[in-house]
Amino acid sequence: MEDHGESLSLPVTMTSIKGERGNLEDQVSQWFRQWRDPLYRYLRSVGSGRAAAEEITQESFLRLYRTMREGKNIEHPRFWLYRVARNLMVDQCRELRNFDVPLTEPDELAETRFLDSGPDPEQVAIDRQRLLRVHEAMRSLTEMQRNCLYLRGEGFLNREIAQILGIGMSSVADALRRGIRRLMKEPHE
Amino acid sequence: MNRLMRGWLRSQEHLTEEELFLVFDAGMPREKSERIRIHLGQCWECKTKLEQFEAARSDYMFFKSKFQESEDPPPSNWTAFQSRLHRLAEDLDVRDRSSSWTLRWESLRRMVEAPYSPVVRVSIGLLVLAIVVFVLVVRSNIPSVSAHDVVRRAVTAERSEIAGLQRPVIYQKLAIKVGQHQIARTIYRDVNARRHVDQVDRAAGKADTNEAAPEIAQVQGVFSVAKLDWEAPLSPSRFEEWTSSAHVTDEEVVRGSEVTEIRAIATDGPIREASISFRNTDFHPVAESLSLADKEYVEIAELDYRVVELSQLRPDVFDSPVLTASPALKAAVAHVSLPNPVDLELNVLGRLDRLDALLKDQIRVSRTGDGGVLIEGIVQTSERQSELRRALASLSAVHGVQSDIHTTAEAEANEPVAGPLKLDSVDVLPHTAPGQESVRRYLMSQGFVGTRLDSEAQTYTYRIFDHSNEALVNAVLVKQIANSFTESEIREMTQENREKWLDLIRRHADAVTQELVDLRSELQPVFAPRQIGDRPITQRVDLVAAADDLSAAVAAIDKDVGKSLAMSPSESNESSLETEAFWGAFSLAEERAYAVLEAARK
Repeated sequence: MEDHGESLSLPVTMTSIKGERGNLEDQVSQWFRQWRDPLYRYLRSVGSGRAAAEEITQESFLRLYRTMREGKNIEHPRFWLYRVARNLMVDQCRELRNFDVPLTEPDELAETRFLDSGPDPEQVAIDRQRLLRVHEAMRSLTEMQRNCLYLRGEGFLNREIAQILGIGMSSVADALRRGIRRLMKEPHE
Repeated sequence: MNRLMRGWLRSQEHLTEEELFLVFDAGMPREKSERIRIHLGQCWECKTKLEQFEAARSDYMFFKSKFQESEDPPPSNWTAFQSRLHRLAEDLDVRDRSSSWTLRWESLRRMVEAPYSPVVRVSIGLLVLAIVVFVLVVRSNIPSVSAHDVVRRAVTAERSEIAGLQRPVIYQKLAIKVGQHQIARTIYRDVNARRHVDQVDRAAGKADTNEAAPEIAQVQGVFSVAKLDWEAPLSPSRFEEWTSSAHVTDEEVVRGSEVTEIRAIATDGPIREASISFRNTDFHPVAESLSLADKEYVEIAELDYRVVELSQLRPDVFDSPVLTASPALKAAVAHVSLPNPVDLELNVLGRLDRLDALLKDQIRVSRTGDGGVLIEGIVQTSERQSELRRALASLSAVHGVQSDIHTTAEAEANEPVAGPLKLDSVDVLPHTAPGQESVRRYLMSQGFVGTRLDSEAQTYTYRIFDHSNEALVNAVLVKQIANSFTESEIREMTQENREKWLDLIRRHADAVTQELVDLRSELQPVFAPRQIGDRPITQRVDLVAAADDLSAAVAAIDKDVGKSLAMSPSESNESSLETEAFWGAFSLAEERAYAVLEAARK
């Protein structure tokens, strides 16, 4: 869970990239290919619409490039991208004044497609029950709990989640605990 | 009490939830771990709670992988990013160059203003002057051109080439790439008589040019709106007209060893970025690329270009607007001049549906009297309005497509417009609605009492309304899409169009089916404890008729649900959810939903 991938093992600095525009462009393009889809899914999972998630994903990588061109040291670009993407999403929600509105409901169609895809009908039925139960529980989570769970599932540490979301570590631990409790079959209040 | 005894007693205390969670999430401090290890080894209750945490995590990861990741795929086309990154890099280059000159100027100024003696100051001044003069002399030998200069030279070069001939005809062969589609065009332009012949030679990746027709139509429409010339796609003067009319924020000339390129970026309009390249030897335009607002990318490259005398060509070359007798080619050109309304409407429906606009916004797509397509609608926010407009941008540019999408604020400022799916508003009054009695009785049997009972009853009711409403909205959409085309249009649809149409129907019929399944599973334990309904599905029916029936059947269910579980100002209050008639109607709706699905799969 703590492994963030090989590319994070070494701090990425302008020195390591030599400050060459072409090299930096190539490096950011490579990161884009590597991390765009997970970042997009994160944004979707916490309520961004498809178009907004696509735009914020691209904008986050462009900001990464701009920041590195300015000579700033970014130790963990992946973590940095999530933080910037999250901030962009919050800004957008504020503009739309719907930050407190429940996040995008999971797509019912997706559920249907998933349920139809299993070769073993019995297993499909079991999976369906499991999926529906978690789905229902997820709807009752707060936006913060959903965020924390998703990022934890992506392998971020509590300290990193706290920085991405701009909250304290104890709040992250609390949100994770409450989130997991709500997902339990028999929650203990 | 000795230390050993105290330690034993402490190890017997149950772990708090926080402690258990720390163990679960591998964050427990070392000094506590021994006591916890001992306790977990002895206490089944705490161990079970820990296992429940682990099971919940496993469930969540299952949900995350199966639902959030597999079923909501990211966009497959991220190509716009590369061009944005490249543009940003270039902008930053320009800024860096400019700031480096500012720094040099500042250091020079500081040097001059330093407290030197008058003789030193004069010497420095003369030195600077000499350097400036030297630079100016050197630079005067390097030809520097503005975008306007390049375009002027290109226009002049073209005119001088034409001026040497009596009846000049421009022959041009072009490759045009739009997204994944590539076509080759041959154009003959009789300059004096203003005649024009166009030929689509081939479409890469397509069985015939018919299939490329919608793409050709899209590009042609964009050209028209941007005031670029479809007959002369590489026209430098038209390019300049575009840069003058659009809100161009950045324009630059890049001089290479063989070509000079003009790049321009606009903040509005259908074309957001364009570049045109000219041969350095004669300033003849050889390539152009357009980045469109809907993220499509158009590339045009010249394969051949000649200016010839009319007499050198076949006498009948301008007799027909189409050069070859290929039926496919004629069809393609016909499509270009007036897009097929079925193609257009399906294209519009598909784009809107991908954004869930048909479901979540009040959008209506209809056919105009002259065979065009009209998109009317009201959306909540200006961002959503922009999103839909962007999705429709290239289609709106095509002849025959009108888009009229307002925000609610705009609509209120004018006149309220009724949407296609206007549903009765309902007020949930759990204690007075007739079906609520059964709901509460059932929930009490499940152990809910007091305030938990009230809140659970309300949650249950909202859940029922959600499923019922979603089923109805999707069923109405199935009906609308099924009835979008006449019988003859459906009969004459191309295989591709038919597949698109059926795909739209399948998607929403599938949603109806799923919603009905969920609705049945919610209603049945409360209102129909014994198994009723479930008719065998044996009939094969006409798709459009089944879609109509489905919409009516789901509407009847929704009405019954509303009457039974909520107070509606327009309806009397009686619960019908426990009647045979309701469950019969429910089974009928399910049967119709499966019938539509079945028919749409054929």
